[in-house]
Amino acid sequence: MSQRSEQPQESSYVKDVLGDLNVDVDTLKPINKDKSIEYVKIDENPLDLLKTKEEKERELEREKRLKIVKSWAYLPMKTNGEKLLYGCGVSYLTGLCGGGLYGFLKGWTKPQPVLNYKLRLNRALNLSTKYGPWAGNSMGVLGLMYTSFDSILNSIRKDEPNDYYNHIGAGFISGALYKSTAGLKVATLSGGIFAGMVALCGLGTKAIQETKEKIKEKKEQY
Amino acid sequence: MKDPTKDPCPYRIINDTGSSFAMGAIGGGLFNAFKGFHNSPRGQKFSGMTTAIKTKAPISAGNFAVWGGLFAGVDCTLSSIRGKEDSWNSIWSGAITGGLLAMRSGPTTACASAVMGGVLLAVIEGVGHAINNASSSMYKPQPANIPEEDKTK
Repeated sequence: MSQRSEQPQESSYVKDVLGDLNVDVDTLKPINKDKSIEYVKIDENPLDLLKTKEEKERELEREKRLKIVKSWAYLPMKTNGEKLLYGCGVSYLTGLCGGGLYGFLKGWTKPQPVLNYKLRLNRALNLSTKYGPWAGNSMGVLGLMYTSFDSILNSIRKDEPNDYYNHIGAGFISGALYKSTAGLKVATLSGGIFAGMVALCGLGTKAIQETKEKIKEKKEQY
Repeated sequence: MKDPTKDPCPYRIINDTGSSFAMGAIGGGLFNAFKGFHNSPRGQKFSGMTTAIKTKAPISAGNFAVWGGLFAGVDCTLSSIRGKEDSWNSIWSGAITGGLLAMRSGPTTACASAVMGGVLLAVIEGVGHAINNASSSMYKPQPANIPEEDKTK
């Protein structure tokens, strides 16, 4: 045994490493059972229609067993880069779809002297291809600027990460930069509008959360 | 088999659209800034640069985004149909995307652009495989170092 202990690579056990630790069950703080852990759920198959019955049952069983309270995360955004890419993609796609729909409806409902189905469809398609890419490109550029400025502001104000003022500031900067070539007045106006929209979104989500908690409390009372 | 380096499938469409849009916007912005600065007359260099960026960068970004989004969508449908994710998926989806985007300019052009898309994606996948092989051969599994038997005891 004496030879072994002289060897440079001495085998170490878990007991040697963790032996000094004083683990007491009472000192370890248990998880608050009233507020169970909230998991962020990211499903590989978010469309419920495509799931088989067995998969759904298995999922429900698992949630009951582990007592998971989950809040649905719409997109797997964890890092700043993912936030940028997903924000950009979502804003581009919503702009494309919304602009296309707006153009289609505008062309479809325009009054015309002679009722002709072919001409009507042609006009609708023309307007949708005109408005769709325009709205998509503008929204995509805005989303790109907003997400990048948001992460920059988050890294600057390290004391309060994910503070909502960061989002509002990022909204103002990106809105002002988007219209920066049209003059100072227009730039500040558009920045203010964008920041106001972001703030309204935040207030709306806050109100929804508060009402949800109130409903939960009322249910627990009964 | 799932590719762990990419996001799961329905989300990948959004991610790919966003990444290609960002690529197109930043790359197109830099390229058009240089071009506008170079081509505008003296005294109006800066305004020429800004107008070039403003008018042309979003268009190139949109083109990129359409390519990337359509590619990811076709990739996801192919992988869900075939039940596996490999390089053939992306090669075929590149070809289909190229064909779909050039469909309005006639069948011959569509075929040519489909072949171009397939070849482009094949080259990208091949280079990726080569890099992967080269980097993974650095960490080949080695036999454990067995210590000599203690004969004193």
